[in-house]
Amino acid sequence: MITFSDQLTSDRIRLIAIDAERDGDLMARWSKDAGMMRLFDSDVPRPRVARQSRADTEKWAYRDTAIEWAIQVIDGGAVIGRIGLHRYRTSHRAADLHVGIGDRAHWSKGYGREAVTLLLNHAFGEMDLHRVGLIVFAANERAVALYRKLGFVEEGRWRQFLRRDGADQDILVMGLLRHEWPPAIAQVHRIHHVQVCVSSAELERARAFYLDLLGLPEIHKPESLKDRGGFWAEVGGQQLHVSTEEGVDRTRTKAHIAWQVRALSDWRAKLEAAGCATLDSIPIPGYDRFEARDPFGNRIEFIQAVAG
Amino acid sequence: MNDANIYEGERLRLTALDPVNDPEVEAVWSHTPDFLALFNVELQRPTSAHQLKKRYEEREKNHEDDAYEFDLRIRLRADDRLVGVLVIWAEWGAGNAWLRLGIGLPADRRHGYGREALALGLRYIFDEMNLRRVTVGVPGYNEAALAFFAAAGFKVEARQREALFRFGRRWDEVNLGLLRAEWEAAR
Repeated sequence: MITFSDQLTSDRIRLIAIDAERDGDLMARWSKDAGMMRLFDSDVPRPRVARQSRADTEKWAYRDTAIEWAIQVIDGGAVIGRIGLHRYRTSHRAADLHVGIGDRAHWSKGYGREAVTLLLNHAFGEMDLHRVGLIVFAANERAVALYRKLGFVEEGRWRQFLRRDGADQDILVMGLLRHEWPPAIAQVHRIHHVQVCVSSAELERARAFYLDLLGLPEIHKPESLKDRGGFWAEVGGQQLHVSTEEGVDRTRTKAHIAWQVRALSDWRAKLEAAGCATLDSIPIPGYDRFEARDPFGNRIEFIQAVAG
Repeated sequence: MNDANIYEGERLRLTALDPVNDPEVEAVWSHTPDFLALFNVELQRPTSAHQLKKRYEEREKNHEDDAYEFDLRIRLRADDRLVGVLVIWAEWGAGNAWLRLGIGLPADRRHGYGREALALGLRYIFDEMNLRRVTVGVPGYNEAALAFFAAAGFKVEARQREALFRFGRRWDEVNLGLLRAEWEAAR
């Protein structure tokens, strides 16, 4: 399904068009912070006046081989930095990323990460690029850490690329391929197991309820955990771990596991017959469901998808 | 004072681009598919002498890249014939030079012209431009160029994975670098 949400907008920021007129003063102000500017460019930083910043922008930001956005904070509308793609090689479906938060007051707030995420979504999802590369000063540890976290792979380094404060500086070359985005680390991809607790005195009855009544196949529990009691079962490729815990009133918590079944009414009859009181859940679209508690007080829900 | 002509090697001479006469020759090169693939990673197209002339005139008018770009031509000293291109792009702030080198016609390759032109180019970069290092970007499929630069002392520094698409598949772009100290040691 296509959703028509704005791809270049996150919760806090949006990427908007560069406007040399609007941003000239701002960029001239940034250019006066030499310590910051040297993080962005291997060229010697020089302070600019607004007229020059406008001319620079006219020259660099509107070329065919570069795409440039301003980073705007939605709340208040402040423009805090720039981001873009350069060395855009259309036939190779590859480009290089550059980004900078120009105002130090906005550093360390996650804006850079958010902006790069938006841009990568756009580069791979909309422009259909195969690769996004970048270069970064090896000594700029915060930037390197951010790019690594986003999945960029270190591909080499240009040795002693420049000399500053009497020391040679390497430049790292990094790249991210389409199939590497989003990085595996960015999202949990499924639930591996859930754990249900009963008192140790109830463990045998718990086996009867979960393995016999619900019919879940037991799976091998690692030796290292065996003497702790409890058992594991499998359901739909995921796992249920039943363990022991004393002195807890399980009937007081709302937290629960929902078991998806077919033939919901048969299951309801089966649970009632086993002595578990059931009650109707608040209806939701697309599902029929009821809830109950297992014989040990844990809340459980049974749910069935229905047509329409 | 050393009055040696730094633009001249044993058989070759580095010269300026001749915007009037060179386009005729370069237009022929641009129709040689392997020259395009070897010299340039950008998508190339056959280009007419007229188009090249216009491009060069335009560039001359704007003077845009004068301070950074050294777009040189490689000619035979014997008869002044144009055989190749040597482009140096200076990053003055960093002290790095990007270099590209190509010999136009297949018949002119394997005569050592490339090696001689590179030697002239490197001497210009280190002894005249006073830069600190040289970087090249070589398409992964150009094995001859990779071996050529390695033989000249360049070291592989980075492999930009799958940065290029050509001949129906993806290739890495390989960066090789040569530091001043390495060049001096090999001199």
